[in-house]
Amino acid sequence: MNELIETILANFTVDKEVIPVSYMHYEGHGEPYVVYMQQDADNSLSGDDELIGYVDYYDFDVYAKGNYLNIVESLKSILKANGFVWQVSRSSQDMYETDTGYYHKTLNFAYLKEEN
Amino acid sequence: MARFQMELPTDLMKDIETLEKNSKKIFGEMTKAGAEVVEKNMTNNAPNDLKSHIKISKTYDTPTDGGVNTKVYISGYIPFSDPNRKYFSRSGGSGKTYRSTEGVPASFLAQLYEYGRSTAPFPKKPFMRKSFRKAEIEAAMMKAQKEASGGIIDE
Repeated sequence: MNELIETILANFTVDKEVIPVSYMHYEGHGEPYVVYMQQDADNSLSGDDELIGYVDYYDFDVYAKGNYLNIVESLKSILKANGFVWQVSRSSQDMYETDTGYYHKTLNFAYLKEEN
Repeated sequence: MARFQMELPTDLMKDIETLEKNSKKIFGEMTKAGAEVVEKNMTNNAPNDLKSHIKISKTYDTPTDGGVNTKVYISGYIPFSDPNRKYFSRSGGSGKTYRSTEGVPASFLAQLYEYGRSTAPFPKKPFMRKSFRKAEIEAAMMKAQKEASGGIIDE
């Protein structure tokens, strides 16, 4: 799954700026960035007492010291185009860290997977 | 002109009357049952320092929509781990500074666990959103509905 996300978001560019995308953690120097991680997984479809499909929920945390709305919209757009479904109720409100000056928003997406 | 008149069976009339009289109680028991599921899941999933701070409210009326509600909430403070620390402060949305001498507000800590932060001295460990299992909540509410209605409503 991480491989898929890394492929989709390789060279993720917003307003001509490449936004680093990293798993779980990013050592930044003030630039905008996105970190992602699995937030939850849930059974979705079973048959003959076997799990056939399940839903993976992923958090994508956008951090930026300036206007981050274009990053949020671009991220939603590219993930939706690749089969992810935005989960409004699992996403966060707008947040701001007074000590670092970072704006922060968590976007949550669901991805349906088949169990082989 | 042909006329048709029908009388509802007394039992059914009584059932409807019972439901009408007890609707608030039935809905209240249902929201309480749903909240209990969430509280249990949240307590299981929460980091150890937050487990005892997860509470459930009394069932209360919501006059604006004529409904009833039961809340799961996080309250209290986590004592400072550094004995020399005097207070905790943070800026609110309105520009005011919130200051506490009792410790770090558990609700603030819960948000940090749930969504993380940039400097991450603190590992992100979401536990609240995953505690809302729709099917589990609905099943508990349906069971409470049947019990509170004396079996009149079943599913």
